[in-house]
Amino acid sequence: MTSAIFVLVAAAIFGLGVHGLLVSAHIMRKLLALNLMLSALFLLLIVVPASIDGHPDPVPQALVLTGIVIAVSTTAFALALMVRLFRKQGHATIHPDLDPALLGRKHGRRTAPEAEGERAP
Amino acid sequence: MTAGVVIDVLLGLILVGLATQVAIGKHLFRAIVFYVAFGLAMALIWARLGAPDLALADAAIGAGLTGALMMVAFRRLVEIDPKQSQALVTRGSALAVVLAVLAAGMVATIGLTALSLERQPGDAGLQVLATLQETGLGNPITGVLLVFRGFDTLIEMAVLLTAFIGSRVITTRSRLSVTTVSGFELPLVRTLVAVILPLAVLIGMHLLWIGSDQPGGAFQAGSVLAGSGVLLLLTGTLLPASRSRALVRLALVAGVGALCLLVLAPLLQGDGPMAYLGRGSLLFAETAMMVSIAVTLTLLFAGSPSLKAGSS
Amino acid sequence: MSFDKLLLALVFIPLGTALVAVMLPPARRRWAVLLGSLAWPCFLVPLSIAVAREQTLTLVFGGWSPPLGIGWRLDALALVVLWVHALVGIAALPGAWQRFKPEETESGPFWSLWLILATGVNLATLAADLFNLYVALELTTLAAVALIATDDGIAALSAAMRYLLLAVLGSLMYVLGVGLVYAQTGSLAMHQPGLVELNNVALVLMLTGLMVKAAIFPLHVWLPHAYSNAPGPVAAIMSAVVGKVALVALWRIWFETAVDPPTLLTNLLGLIGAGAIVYGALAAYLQPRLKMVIAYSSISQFGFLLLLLPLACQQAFQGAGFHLLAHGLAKAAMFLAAANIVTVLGSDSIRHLPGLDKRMPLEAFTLALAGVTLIGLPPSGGFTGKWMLLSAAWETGGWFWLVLIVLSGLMSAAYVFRILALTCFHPARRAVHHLHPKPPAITSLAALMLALLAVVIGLYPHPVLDLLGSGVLMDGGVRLQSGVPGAGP
Repeated sequence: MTSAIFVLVAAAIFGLGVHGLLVSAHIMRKLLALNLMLSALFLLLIVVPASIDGHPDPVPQALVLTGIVIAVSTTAFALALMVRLFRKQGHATIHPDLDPALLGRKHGRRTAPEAEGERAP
Repeated sequence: MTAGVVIDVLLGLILVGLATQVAIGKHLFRAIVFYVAFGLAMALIWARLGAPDLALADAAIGAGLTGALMMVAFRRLVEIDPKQSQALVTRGSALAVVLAVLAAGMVATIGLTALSLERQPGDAGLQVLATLQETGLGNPITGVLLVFRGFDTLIEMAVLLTAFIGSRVITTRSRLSVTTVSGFELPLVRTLVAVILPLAVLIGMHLLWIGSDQPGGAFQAGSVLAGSGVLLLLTGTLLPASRSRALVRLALVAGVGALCLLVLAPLLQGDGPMAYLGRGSLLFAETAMMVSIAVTLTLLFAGSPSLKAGSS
Repeated sequence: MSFDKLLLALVFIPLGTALVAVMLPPARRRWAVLLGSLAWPCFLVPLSIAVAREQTLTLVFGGWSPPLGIGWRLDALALVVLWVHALVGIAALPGAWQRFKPEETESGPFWSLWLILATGVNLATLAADLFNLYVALELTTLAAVALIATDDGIAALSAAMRYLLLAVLGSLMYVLGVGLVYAQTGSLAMHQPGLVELNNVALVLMLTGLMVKAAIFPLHVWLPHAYSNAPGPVAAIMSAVVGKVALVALWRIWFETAVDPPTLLTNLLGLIGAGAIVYGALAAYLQPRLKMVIAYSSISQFGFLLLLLPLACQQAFQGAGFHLLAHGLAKAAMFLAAANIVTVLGSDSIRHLPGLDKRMPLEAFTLALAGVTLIGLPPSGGFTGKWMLLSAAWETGGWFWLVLIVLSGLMSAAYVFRILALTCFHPARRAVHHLHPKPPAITSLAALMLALLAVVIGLYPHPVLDLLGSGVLMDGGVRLQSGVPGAGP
């Protein structure tokens, strides 16, 4: 029963994360949404495998601990990246165009000066 | 039985409510605050599920440090450009709602189907409990993290180090003002630090020491210490420094380095890699990991390669 | 000393030197960098001999055999990936050295990340444990993202950000799949004897996650920006191995972890591969920038590697493995040459290419040679790989795949010849007003060596093909298997 309740809770949080990821352009919002989804994932990892003697299986617990540390590392790095991007371009969003091929040549010319950033040192 | 169900449902509803605020709350800053609350509620749920190690870790890392990192990043955005920092370019759409509901439905179906199958305790989990005695440890999770799957932990520490080095690549070019984190000079805060800091160090040491037999360990201890590092930065007792020091660099690599030794040292005796060397070796590795976690996370918060004593 | 302990060198040399590089003062950093980049490839020589003799080397940590502990495995496929990594890593070194001088203080993080990336790639290749693979891929991704961000332009930073967000999403799905596998079997080893129910859901989740990381169409959206805006040497490593390790992991999960995946899924994945081949080639043809052409070509070539799933026979395995090798070398050569072109011309817009054969003959020749491999013209390595896939399609009666492979050769020819025609035969010979000084000749030669090597392996394909052929055991004529620790005989 407990497991089933928390599976539903995880599903709801996962859905909220997906929603947040889709609707918000702000990178920090996206990171918050991803962190929600990660929490939902961790909850599932603990609840779904059968428990042993009333405690969750120690192996998934260790995996989740590892996952939490990896999540905070990734988030910290992503935040640093976001601050830098914000300083350079003045807004904390990524270019909305997903695939430059869809825009063809026009796009390439437009971003060419900054995209060809590889200059002689 | 029913009381338990009521508690579960209540906790679940609180968690979902907080997650809603994080995902679709209007203001970014509020969303971050709710994320911290979400992490704390998550910790309660871990405790309720009988996973105190996760409860400690999620309260310290998930809620505390992730929240602190988000807040300081938010503050930096505000400093750069107060108007743009909050600018919410939300594209609220029916499609997003449909996709979110679909995703939630999918996860629920997968989870419930998995629960409905005939479930046996996992082989690996049973073997961990059966073999734990050989290692002399009392906490099976510490056993998995440092003995049976210690190699995962080594790479995880390397990921933490990589995140730090990666943010150095980015932040060396942008000068983050020192005042970003130090700010308030209230007498009460001073006193608070004087009380909390020794307590945090004690708690950290305690968590590290008992971690081999009871809930706790290097991660929890390291993040409690990192929390006090953040507090010291906030009160100006510690300040970000731009010149990197050998001691700080040593602290950064200590965790990965100690785990590498744990893998390679047994080879000298002709044993296989990471052959178990006893509890002493684990305590050594965990101390190094605690130091690395504490220093790395504090520096990630400060956004600087090093720290120096404040002028107090 | 047995050979299996040598495996440790592949991961612990780059990791150890990365730690040393963090500690050392800038003036002495170069020794750590040289040791970390050049020492581990030396170990591939004895390891290749060992694999040729014993087929599979395994290593178990702490003596705890799976499912309790973590294992590594080196087989022929892993060996091919490691060789590509070693060769490309060495060839990319001069360019990286020239741009990020190790004795400069500010290039310290670059070199630590460079060594960590090598660690991650090698580890992801060796991992025989589903969760260990995840941490290895996280390490690889994070290092790669940070290396892209060493180019401080807005384009590179947003490419890094997009890559990071999508990669997190991908690993999330992958780990969910892994969790479902554990819930059923109680084991995280890649070889899963008892996986029955929910098999397909877990499988689809894991595959989708890995497809994001490998940039398989239509989950490729991070790749073009990331590859084309990364510093040249980083793009070379990324295109040669970073995406490939996720793809090889996908193969392994398909053939080792999954039990009897449904035909529908097999065909779907084959069609996705077909879509990637066609889409990537068309998009490459339309790109206005040289690096974008090369990046989209990767998406197309990755599609071939997915064709192994529907073809699923020994010949297809040899062909796909060989294609991985040839494409890795050729693509890295192109990115290294393109980096030099950008350095000299200040731009990689294809409008600036006319006359390049006069100004930078080595780079033009490298592009041409590597292009031959991409198209799959004999006698290049690309030809051997595609020929093996083609004959696999012939023998299994997969007419659709057969036509696709032939057509794709024509489509690759279109985008390669577009570049070559502009470079060598364009009448305009447009003068570029401002030419920057040329990078040292060794960087041009390194790129050329890779391109040559991609052709030479086509002339002498047998050592590699024999190795790939011996490492794979046929099981019932359809499924491929390779040894895994704890998997029994």
